[in-house]
Amino acid sequence: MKQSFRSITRTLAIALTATLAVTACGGGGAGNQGPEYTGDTFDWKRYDGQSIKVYVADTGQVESLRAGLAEFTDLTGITVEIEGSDVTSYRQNLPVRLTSRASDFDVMATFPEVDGLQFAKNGWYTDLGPYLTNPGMTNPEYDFEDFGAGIRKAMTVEEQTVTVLWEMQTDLVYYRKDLLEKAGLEVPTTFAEWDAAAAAVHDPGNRVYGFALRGIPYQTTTPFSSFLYAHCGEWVADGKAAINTPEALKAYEAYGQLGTKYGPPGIAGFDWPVPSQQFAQGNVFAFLDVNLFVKDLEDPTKSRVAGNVGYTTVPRADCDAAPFIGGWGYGINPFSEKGDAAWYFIQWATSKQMNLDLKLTGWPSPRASAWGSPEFKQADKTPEFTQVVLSSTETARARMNPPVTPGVEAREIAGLVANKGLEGQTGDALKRTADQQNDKLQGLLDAMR
Amino acid sequence: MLDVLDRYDRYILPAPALIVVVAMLAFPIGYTVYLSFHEWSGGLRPPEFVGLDNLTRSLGDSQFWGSIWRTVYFVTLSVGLQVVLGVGAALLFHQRFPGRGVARTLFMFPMIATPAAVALVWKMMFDPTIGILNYLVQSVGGPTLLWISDANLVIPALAIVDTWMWTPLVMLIVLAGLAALPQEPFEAAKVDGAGPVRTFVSVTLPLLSPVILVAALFRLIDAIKTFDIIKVITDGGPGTASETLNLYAFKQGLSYLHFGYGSMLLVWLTLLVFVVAIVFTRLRARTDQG
Repeated sequence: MKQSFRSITRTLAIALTATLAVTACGGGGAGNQGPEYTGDTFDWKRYDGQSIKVYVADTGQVESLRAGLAEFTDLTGITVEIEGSDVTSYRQNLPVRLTSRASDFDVMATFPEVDGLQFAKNGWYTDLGPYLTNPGMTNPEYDFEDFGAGIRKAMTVEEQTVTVLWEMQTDLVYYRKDLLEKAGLEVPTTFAEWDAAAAAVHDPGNRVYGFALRGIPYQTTTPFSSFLYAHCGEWVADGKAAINTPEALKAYEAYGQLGTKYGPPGIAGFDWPVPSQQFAQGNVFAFLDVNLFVKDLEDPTKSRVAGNVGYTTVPRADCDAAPFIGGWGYGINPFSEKGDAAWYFIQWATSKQMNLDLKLTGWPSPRASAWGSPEFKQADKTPEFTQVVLSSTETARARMNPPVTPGVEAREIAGLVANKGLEGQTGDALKRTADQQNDKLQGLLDAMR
Repeated sequence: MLDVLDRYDRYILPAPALIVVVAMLAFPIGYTVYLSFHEWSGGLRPPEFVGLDNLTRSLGDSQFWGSIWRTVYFVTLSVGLQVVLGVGAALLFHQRFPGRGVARTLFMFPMIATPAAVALVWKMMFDPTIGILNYLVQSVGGPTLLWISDANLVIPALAIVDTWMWTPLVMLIVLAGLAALPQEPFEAAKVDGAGPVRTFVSVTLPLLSPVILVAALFRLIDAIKTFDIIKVITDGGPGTASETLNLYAFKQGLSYLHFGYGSMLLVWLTLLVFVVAIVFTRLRARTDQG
């Protein structure tokens, strides 16, 4: 019995370490209420001597950011420490740190399209509006209007500007020019034409697959949003979950069919970078995804198809094409005690010059001035891509997920239908899945009220 | 004062360590159980008491029951394989042969590697287009297998990874047990003319069974809690085909920020581990007596 008790105790001890994963201790937070300075003169040196910490998801910008930090410190006297982690870890750690009201970081990265409603509900955003309208806190040269109207909307949650984007994501289609030319086809503009083009070049025996897409449920909503809007669907219509409407089902069917008929094996398990990697390897004719891959795809050391990549806007179906627009931006931790210095960092990191510098390294900028600058125009090696991205922003919508909290769960719910489509579900079976998932989405909507 | 210290030193000296251990155990247990009766998304509002709502929700949650089933399936398959292969390997490495030491060391390599790194390597190996596993299968005329993208194959595929990693642990424990076995029964079996198979079934296995049960218990507890390899290789996919209870609890708690419901799922996980531990401890006690 003694032996048993000891074993059981030991077992219990081991098992309970798992519980640590979801426990979070409460703690006091100072609470960032907005700008402290209310004068009308802007002074870069006002917070000279302070030090702040920037906590970001490392989506590739961190190195460029680090490279410019000395310049920021020279300009302001503020020293900066950057803590970057991969996107998945970041998404899991940030809410836990905010839950514990951690004040050990001042600037945070946020993707309002995913985090927005949940963060706003939990009081995890600082309203940047008062900073932007305070002439003493914002450099007169900052020019917030330089971010287009669609992009400014993507920075907003419940009427508050909660972040300033440092990048601009939108969907487009990448394709191989040589294969399209060989097939004797024009660049497709509808989903039906892409289906036909993919069929024409699909050659699995030679490891050339017609079309690739993301497969992991919660990640599919990003490209799937382009399918949904083009088929006249909505995530939520008249306050009701709408992912099982005839329009949404047509979109899911199109997503699943394009992937199952012409996708590489195992497409239902594709993580977000996999379609672009397969494309770079020369295994895929075309894929629809965000505009972040151009840099690697045009790099001959990383891509077998460099110089041979075509770009075009997302296709239309029953309705006009409407890619999403959004991206990662910087916000102020509401529990930070150095919100003002944090804002100085944000306006520097998203200034015209920093955006242009990032743009020149290949990152799609949210500022119009970066795209239109003579330096960029002269350095632009992919004008076709530039033209596609800029024209996409004209029809884009700032929504790639159901506007429901929690955002990740809503993505998972809606994305599972697309995933099942890629596993081969069609017709009634797909509708059953859509009905089931629609009920779950409705459950989340009801819980929000 | 010194008298008191002398008299109670057996309690006083280990007290600080005991307090830390109790706090480290009691706090997570207490807080998780506390949270499991609340709904909380981590915001500024405090946790809201919801009574048994999370418990009843879990009982009616098909995804929860699915995750239990997948946990049991994964654990049974992987631990079953590990016990069979581990005992086999222990018997093999118990024999004397040239290079035994090197072979034993090499065999233990998988156990030393970091699970996340192991998972990344296996993820590449499972790739249906460029992975080495399909290359091997196809080179002997087999089909293209969608190892981790096929809902029917994904749990066995993950069990293979777990087996690859942890069979050496079973082997080590059994090997230690083999070394400690008394020699008399084997000599008696030899005198009676028993062959190797009969000796194994009638002598080795019964003598070893308490040790095998301990090895199985260690692995069962660990396998129920397996997280890293599943998270990295499939993240519970395709769809939810490899979403075990641990992963589901993680998603509910940390991805969806349903801290209350996630805690309730962890209470279930703890109970599952507890039940398995009790069953195996009793089994072992019975084997000891028998």
